[in-house]
Amino acid sequence: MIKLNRKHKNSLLVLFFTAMFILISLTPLVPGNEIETRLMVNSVGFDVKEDGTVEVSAETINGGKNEFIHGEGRVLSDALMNLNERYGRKIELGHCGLVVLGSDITTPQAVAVMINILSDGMINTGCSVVSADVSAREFMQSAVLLTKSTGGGVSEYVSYADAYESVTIPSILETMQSLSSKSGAAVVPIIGFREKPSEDGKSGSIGGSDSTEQSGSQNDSGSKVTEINPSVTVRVFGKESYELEESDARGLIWITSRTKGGLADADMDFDGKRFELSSVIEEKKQGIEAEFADGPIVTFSVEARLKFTQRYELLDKVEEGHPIDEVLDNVNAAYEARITDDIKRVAERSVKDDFLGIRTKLYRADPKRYNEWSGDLSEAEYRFDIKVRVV
Amino acid sequence: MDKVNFRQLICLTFLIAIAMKMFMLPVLMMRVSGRDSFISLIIMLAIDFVSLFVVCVVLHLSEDKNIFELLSSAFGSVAAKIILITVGLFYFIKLFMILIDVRVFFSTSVFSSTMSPVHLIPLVLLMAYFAFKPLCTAGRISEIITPIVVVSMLLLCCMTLPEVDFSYLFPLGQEGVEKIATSCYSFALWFGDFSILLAFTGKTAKTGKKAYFALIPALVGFVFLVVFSTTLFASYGDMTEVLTYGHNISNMTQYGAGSFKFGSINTVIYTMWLSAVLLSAGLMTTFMSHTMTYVFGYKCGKLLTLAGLTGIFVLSLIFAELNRVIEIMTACFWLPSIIVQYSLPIIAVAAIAVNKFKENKAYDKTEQKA
Repeated sequence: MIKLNRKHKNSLLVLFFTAMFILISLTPLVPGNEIETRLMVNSVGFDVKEDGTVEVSAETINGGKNEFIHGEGRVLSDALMNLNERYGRKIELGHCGLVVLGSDITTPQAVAVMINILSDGMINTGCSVVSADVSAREFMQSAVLLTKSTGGGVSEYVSYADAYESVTIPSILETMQSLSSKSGAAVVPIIGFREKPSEDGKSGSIGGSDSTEQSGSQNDSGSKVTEINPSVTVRVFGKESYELEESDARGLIWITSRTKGGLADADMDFDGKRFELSSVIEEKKQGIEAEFADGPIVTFSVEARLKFTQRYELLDKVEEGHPIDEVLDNVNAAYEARITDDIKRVAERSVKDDFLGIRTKLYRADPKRYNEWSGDLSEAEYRFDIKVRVV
Repeated sequence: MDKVNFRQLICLTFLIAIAMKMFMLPVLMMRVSGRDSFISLIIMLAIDFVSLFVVCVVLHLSEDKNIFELLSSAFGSVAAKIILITVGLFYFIKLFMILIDVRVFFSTSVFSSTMSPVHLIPLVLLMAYFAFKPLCTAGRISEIITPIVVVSMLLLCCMTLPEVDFSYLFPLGQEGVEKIATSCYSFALWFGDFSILLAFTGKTAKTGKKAYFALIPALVGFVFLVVFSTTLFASYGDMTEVLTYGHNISNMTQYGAGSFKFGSINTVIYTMWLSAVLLSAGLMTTFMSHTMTYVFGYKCGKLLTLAGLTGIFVLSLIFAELNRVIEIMTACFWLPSIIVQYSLPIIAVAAIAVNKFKENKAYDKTEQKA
């Protein structure tokens, strides 16, 4: 019998473990590996019909091509199973970047859907959530068609708006945190389509602040371009589900930490003339502080640096003899007034369904006083600490 | 010579501090005490820190005697064997718990449709390997993997922490003292790991008072652990009903990374962190093997260790209902965990004191005779 010395024994052992780990790591290469048996989904949409049927619509990226897929069932798990059966593969939500809630979905239905997919660990907690201005099925069908030509997924175009525009797109975890908190309400942006006249009938190009002109397609007449349009309007999921108009939702841009950029407009009356100001948000810090004094006090603070895009319009005033500092102070004041108005409007709308999370902040600040309080936000005193610097 | 040096002791302490607590523990605690799990975690880590201090005292004062010699010279060989059999059996249960934790993680996070017990075989084989190796093997391996583990944790911090809203952790203390206390003692099996370091009693080369420096890497490991656990507590504090065994600390990295953009790089990085668990399991096996060897002799001891490991693997196949296993562990084994893990360092210190007393008495007698 051959006797091995210690060095050889160790070498054999190392070889054995190495071989084992190599064998295990090579499993993706064997036929029938898991990725090939899955429907890799980029974006998914949920609708609930009047009779309670759950519809799941998704964009799948298997084989490099974006395809629209659809399933329905009595409950969510049935709908997912139906989808698996229709396409012969199991749906994989682990790489899903976008959840689209249909326009008719109610708050309890939305909560049920999101809790289901979160609790089973199916979906990435950082996945974005939006609401469609039509049913999720219609949205996904059209969006997949629009984005097919460019090769990108629906979620990529929506995330562009999140990164570069003034649209606040929360993650599914943030949405559920808001809905599960003392405030019990959340806002998600509404994404839809709009038709825009095309000068030459060609696809739209990147640009603009209110739309994401990254993909377009000609409609039947050939004279308009349809594009995905993430807007400032939002859907509130509270006691009921409803839309918040752009004029009411604009304040969210300033007090939501997720928005990093976008355009800021204001009106300024200076020296008998009205100016329409336009700037780009370069930097922004914001906060909402809540505390109990005699009653609840909520302080909104915003500190923003804006890059002014119309210097030439104000040069006249400087040439007339007004110091540049005086002009800029007036510009700053105009923006501060506008931001205060916007925040005031959204705060007033938030009294009904606390989508700003004020009750949660009050609870964190003083749980004892919170439990003694009536919970009526109309009793709250709102204060504003707004500082703008235009450069 | 079967000894570890100071650097290896430091690495071992760091790895043991983080090893067992990264899988299901934060989720399990949250299901009992919600966001107040933060308080429970801090309390248990503080107790562990004190336990480590006692272990450092033992390592400092034990000179060249190992734990077996310490106990037998202080309390007699019968008492020492009883203590060590009890400890050995306890670690048998703890090893089973580690296997269950690892199995839950891999079967829900990584290999969801592959038969999960298969993936335990390499771990069990690794543990068997450790059973036949001296303690210095664990020391050397810890030196190699500690930098990898530290880098992976720092990467995970960078990917996760900037996006987390820690304000969701508050307010604390709303669940009540009873739930906090329940959360503390129910999960005692997941704590008290530093008692394994008593295996290095008398086997640390020229460490002496430097043993107390082991408190620093433990603190660093605890900080990492608390930070990552707190991201989970803050994120799910208001919706603990969402939490299942599919959730653990690794899911939190997706919060910041956005895996649909980068791919599941968090899983790859997290796997590096897992190597700490492999070493901790290996160390427990080594300790268990040494206790069995001391009590039953070399051949019998090794055979018993192998039989124990086989038994653990078979149990993990039989107990497929993981919920049930964890319920049993938290309901039945919290008291033995507290007794064995926290009393062993105290018993070791008592043994040192008794030995010192005996030595002084013997010296006095000799002096008198002279």
